Amino acid sequence: MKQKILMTLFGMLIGITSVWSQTDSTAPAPPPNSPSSGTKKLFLPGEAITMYQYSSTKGTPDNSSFTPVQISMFPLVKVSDRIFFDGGIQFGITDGGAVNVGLIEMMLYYRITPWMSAFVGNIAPHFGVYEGLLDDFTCRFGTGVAPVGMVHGPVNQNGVGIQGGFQAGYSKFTYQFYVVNGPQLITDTITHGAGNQSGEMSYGQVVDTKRAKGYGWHVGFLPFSNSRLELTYSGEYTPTTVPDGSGLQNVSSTAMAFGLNYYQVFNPVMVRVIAEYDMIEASNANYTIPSSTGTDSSYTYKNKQNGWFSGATLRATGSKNNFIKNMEIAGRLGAYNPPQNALWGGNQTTQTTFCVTEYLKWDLPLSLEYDVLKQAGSPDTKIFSAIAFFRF
Amino acid sequence: MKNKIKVIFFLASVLTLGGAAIYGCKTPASIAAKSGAQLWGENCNRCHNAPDPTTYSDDQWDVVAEHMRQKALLTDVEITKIRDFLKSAN
Repeated sequence: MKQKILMTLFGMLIGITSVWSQTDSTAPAPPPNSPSSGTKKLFLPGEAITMYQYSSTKGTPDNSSFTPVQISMFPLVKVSDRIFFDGGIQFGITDGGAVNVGLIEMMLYYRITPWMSAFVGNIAPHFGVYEGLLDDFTCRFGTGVAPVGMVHGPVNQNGVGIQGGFQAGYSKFTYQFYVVNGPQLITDTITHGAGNQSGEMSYGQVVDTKRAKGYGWHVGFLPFSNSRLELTYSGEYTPTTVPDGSGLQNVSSTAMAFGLNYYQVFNPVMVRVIAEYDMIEASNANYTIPSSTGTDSSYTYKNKQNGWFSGATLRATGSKNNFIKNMEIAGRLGAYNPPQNALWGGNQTTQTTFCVTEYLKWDLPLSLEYDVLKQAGSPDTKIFSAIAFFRF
Repeated sequence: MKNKIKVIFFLASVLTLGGAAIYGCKTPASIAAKSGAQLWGENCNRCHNAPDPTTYSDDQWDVVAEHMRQKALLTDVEITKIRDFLKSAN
């Protein structure tokens, strides 16, 4: 099986190389000894987010906090005309004042052809409309409360792949295919009752002892010549999510997302529409549930979760008043459906979001966000967030 | 399971090689004639506000262009024209 996969990948590369050899590169070759050729270039941008948040749930005390959320650095290195390094490190702070450090991503790219790059490292898959990365810079709806309907599927993983984009007549295609360690099924034999996580997927595997890897894909289609509409289909399939010998080694995982991103200027207003549907499903399994009386039991459930969100924004880009011109008004609806019968599952959660963003500069949004979260059988939660986002 | 993998990789292969074949076709003149400024406006705004060309130095634009080539999966023609346009302001 592995041989077939490797042969398929090899065949793809051979085919690609042969097609490339028949087409002219559109990138002009740099002149010999040009200072812009083969010279390493380091750029170290970063971002910091700080926030005030007020949360109210009926039956529980309200709470409000000023939160220095995180600071992130992105070492970007153009090693040569073909080789590029893209990294990201995040620093956060805990309640006790301790600093925690996290890896956002670490990818090394090699441009094989004008329309294909290979990459290796800790990758953020292009999954859904935000393509694995959600921040105030790209999100028009604020990030005080993450959309409940987003990224029920793969997040950062270690692996290798290819990606690129190419013109096809008046339309354009983008793609990404990769092989990663893949998710590992959580089998929780310790937690009693509702907190038991058995059946969830953990995507943070560094050492992979499973029999098979995860295979991911992303295809984007931009039908209009002005690139204003992007339709995406992405997913990841992992045939086995547990090492052999546990009895659960045949539990597979399939994740998929459909995304839409569209913007249009109806002078003087720019309208943007963003929508996503995503899901993750694992095949059926019997999970052991620990008992406080000493007699363990087992249970099974339909392990499928999905989410969606859809939103629109308005911005008066044609206004002569700078304050108005730099203001964006946004509204979003979304929902998350966990596996209803799982111990960690439950009822649907819906989310309604309103957000007003003022761009102090092109990359410095200041957002006021209001979220209402509803779940059957629970009181509504209302959250107000004021978020300052700095890029430097 | 094995069939699923075969189907996925078959589709991936067809798509990639099919796409490559399409790529080899002639790009319409109106698309090929697009300026860097036009492509800058169309593509950057799809995800975030388009930056002012004076924001960064030439060397920084070189790095940012490679970053956006990979993040936004821009075509080679697009990113080359956009990069040249952004650098032309310095």
